[in-house]
Amino acid sequence: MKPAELYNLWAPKDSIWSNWAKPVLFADHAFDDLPLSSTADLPSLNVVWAPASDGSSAIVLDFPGAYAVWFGIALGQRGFRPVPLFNGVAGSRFGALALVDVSGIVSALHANVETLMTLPLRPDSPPAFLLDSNRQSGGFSPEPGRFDNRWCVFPQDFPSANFLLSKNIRSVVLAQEGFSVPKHDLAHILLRWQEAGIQILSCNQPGQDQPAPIQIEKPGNFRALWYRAMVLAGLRRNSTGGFGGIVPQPGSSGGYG
Amino acid sequence: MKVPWEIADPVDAEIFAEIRRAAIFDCCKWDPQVEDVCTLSPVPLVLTGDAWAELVTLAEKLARETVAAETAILQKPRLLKGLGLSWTLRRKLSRSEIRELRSRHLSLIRFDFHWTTEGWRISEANTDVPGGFNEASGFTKLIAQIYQKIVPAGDPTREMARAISGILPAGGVAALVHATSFSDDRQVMVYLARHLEKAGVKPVLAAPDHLQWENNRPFLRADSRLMPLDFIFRFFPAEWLTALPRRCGWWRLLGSSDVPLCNSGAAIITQSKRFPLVWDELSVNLPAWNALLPRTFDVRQTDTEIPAESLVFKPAFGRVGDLIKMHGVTSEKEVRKIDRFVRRYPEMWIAQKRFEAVPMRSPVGDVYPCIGIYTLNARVIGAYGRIARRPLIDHRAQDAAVLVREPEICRNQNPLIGTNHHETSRTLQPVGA
Repeated sequence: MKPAELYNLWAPKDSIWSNWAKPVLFADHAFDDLPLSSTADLPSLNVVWAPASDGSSAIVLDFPGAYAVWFGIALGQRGFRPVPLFNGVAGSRFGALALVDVSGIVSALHANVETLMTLPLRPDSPPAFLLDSNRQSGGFSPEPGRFDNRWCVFPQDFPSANFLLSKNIRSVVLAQEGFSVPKHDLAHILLRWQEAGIQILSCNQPGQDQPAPIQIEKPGNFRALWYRAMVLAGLRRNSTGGFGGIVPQPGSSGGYG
Repeated sequence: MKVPWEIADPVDAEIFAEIRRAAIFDCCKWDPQVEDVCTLSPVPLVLTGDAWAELVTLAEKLARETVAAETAILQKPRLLKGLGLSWTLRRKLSRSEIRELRSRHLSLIRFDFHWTTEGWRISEANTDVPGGFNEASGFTKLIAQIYQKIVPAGDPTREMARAISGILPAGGVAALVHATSFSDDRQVMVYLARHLEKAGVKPVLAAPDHLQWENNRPFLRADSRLMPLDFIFRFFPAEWLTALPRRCGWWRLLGSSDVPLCNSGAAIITQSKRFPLVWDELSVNLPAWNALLPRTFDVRQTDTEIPAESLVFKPAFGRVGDLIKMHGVTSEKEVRKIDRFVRRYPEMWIAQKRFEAVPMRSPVGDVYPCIGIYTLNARVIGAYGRIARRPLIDHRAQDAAVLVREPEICRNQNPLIGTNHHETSRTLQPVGA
C-alpha cells in the first residue's frame, strides 16, 4: 500500500477531523526506508477509562511511540476516531542516526490499518488525537552530527476551542503514562481550551485510573506573540549542536520568508 | 485606478479537497492546516499580462540593485553595524574573501509586492532564505490545470534546479542544509531535492552541523566517512549561524566557500529591515528600492510629521509577519509588548511609512494579496502568492496560486512575461463550472 493510500485510511475524507491529521510521516520517506511489520501488533490495552463516544468528549493520547497508535486503535473500538498528529520526520538517508525513533509509530500505522478499517466509526465520531510523548526528548542525546527530528506541538496544530465547542465537545481527556500534568507544549493548547470553557481531565494510569478533572496551569510565554518563533528557534538551535534551548532576544530571529 | 488582477471563482470544494491531498503528497505540502484554517486558498491570484510584465521588470531592477548594494556594503564594513547584525557576524562578513568570491554564488531573492493606492510597493525582500517553493511551483500547477487560458507565473523550483544543475559537474552532489527538526523546512528541502534529482543532481539533506570543511572545501560527515560536496543550498537563516559549533566552520557559508552557495550568508545584509538606513552612505544608486519601499526610519528618529498611526514598526529580522505593529491591525496587548521591545532594543527595529493596500474583492470576500516575485541571479523565475483577510501577511495568511492570462504569454513566446492591457476586474470560471 502506498503512503498516500495509507494516509487516506487514517485521514478519511469524510471525517471532520481529517484536516488536522499530520501527513509528514506518510509523505516523507518513512514508509520506504523503515522496516514495516505486516501483521497487526496490537497489544491488549485497557481503555475502560475512556468516556462515552457520544460526541461530547475528545481525547488526547500522549504516549511513547507505537503506544499512541495502539491506544488510538483501542479507542477506535469504542467509537473514537484516531487522528495521527505525528509531526516529525523519520530521519536521514545518509546515515546520521535520528534522535527520535519513529520506526515503531510507522510500523504500527502500517500494521494496524486493517483493524482501522473495521472500526465502528462515523464521519462525526469524536477525535482521539495521537501524539508521541518522545517528540522532544528522543531516545538519544542531541550530539553533533545526529539527525535532529525532534518536534513539538503548537496551538495551530489542533482545532480551536471554538471549533470543538461548535461540535458540542465539552470535555477533553488527556491520557498519558505516569504524569497528570501535560507536557509544556501541550499545556499551551489545553489551557486555551480550558479558558474557553472546555473541561480538561487527566488519566495518568490508563487501565487503572478514571479520568479526573485538572486545572491547567499557565505555562511560560502563554499567548506570547513570539512563542512559536521562540520555540522554533530553540529547537533549531538544539538541532544544530545541542545547546539546550537558547532563547533568542525577541526580534532577533532570522529573516525567514 | 485599474486593478492588476482578475477575479476567479474558487475551485469547487470537492475538487479542491483532491488538490489539497495532491499538494501533500506530490508537492510536499505537509502543513496544509493551521488551527481551523486550510493554508491553501481555493481562489487563485490571476494577474493581467501587463501587471505581470511590470512586476517582472520591477523585480529584476530590484535584484540588480540589491546585489550592487550588498557589494557596496561589504566594501564599507563599518556600515554593517547599522544593520542590527551581531558582532560575530559583522566580523566574519568583513573578511576580504567574502567580497572576492561573491560572483561564484547564486543569488535567490523573493520580493514581496502589494498593490496599493499608489501602485506597486514592496513590504520586504527575502534575500537570505526565501521559502514558498512548494506552493509557488507545485500547488500553483495543480490549481492552474483547473482553469482555462491562464497559466502559472513560472516554476521557481524547476528553474532553481536547472540553474544548480547547470553549474555542477555531472552527478554533482548538492547539500540542502536546513533545520532538520522542523518539518515545515524539511518539506521545502524534500521538494527541491526531488527537482534536483530530475535535473541530474544528487541531493543530500543535512543540518549545518553535518558539514565539515577542509580549507574552504565542504564535506558532509555521515557515519565515519566524508562525502565531498559540489554545492550548498542553505535554508537556515544566516542570523542563526553564529549559534553553531565552531568546528562546523559555519562562517564559510557567509561566502568564502570554494563551492557555489545559494544563498551566501552575505545576503543577511539586505535581509535586514534596517538596510535602507545606510543607503545614503552607499556609492550606488537604488532607484527601484527608493521608489518601491516605503520610507524607512530609525525608531529613534521617526519623522514627526508622520502621524504614529501611519507608521509600521518591524523588527530588523522579523519573519512571517511576527512582531509587526500596525495601527488598527495589531491588538492592543501585542502593541504594548512590541512597544516595550522597541524601547529596549531600538537598534533592532525600524519604523516604516505605512502603505494602503488595495483589497481584492474575491468571491470569498475581500482579501489582501501579497505577490512574492522570485529572482535568481536577477532574472525572474516565478511567483508565490499569499492572501490575508487583513492588511498583514502573517502565519494566518493562505497560500494562493499566482496565475497569468495565457494568450499574452503565448504571444511573447516567454512563459514569464506577458504584455496584456489592463482590464477592470472580471470573473474567471473553473473548467466545468
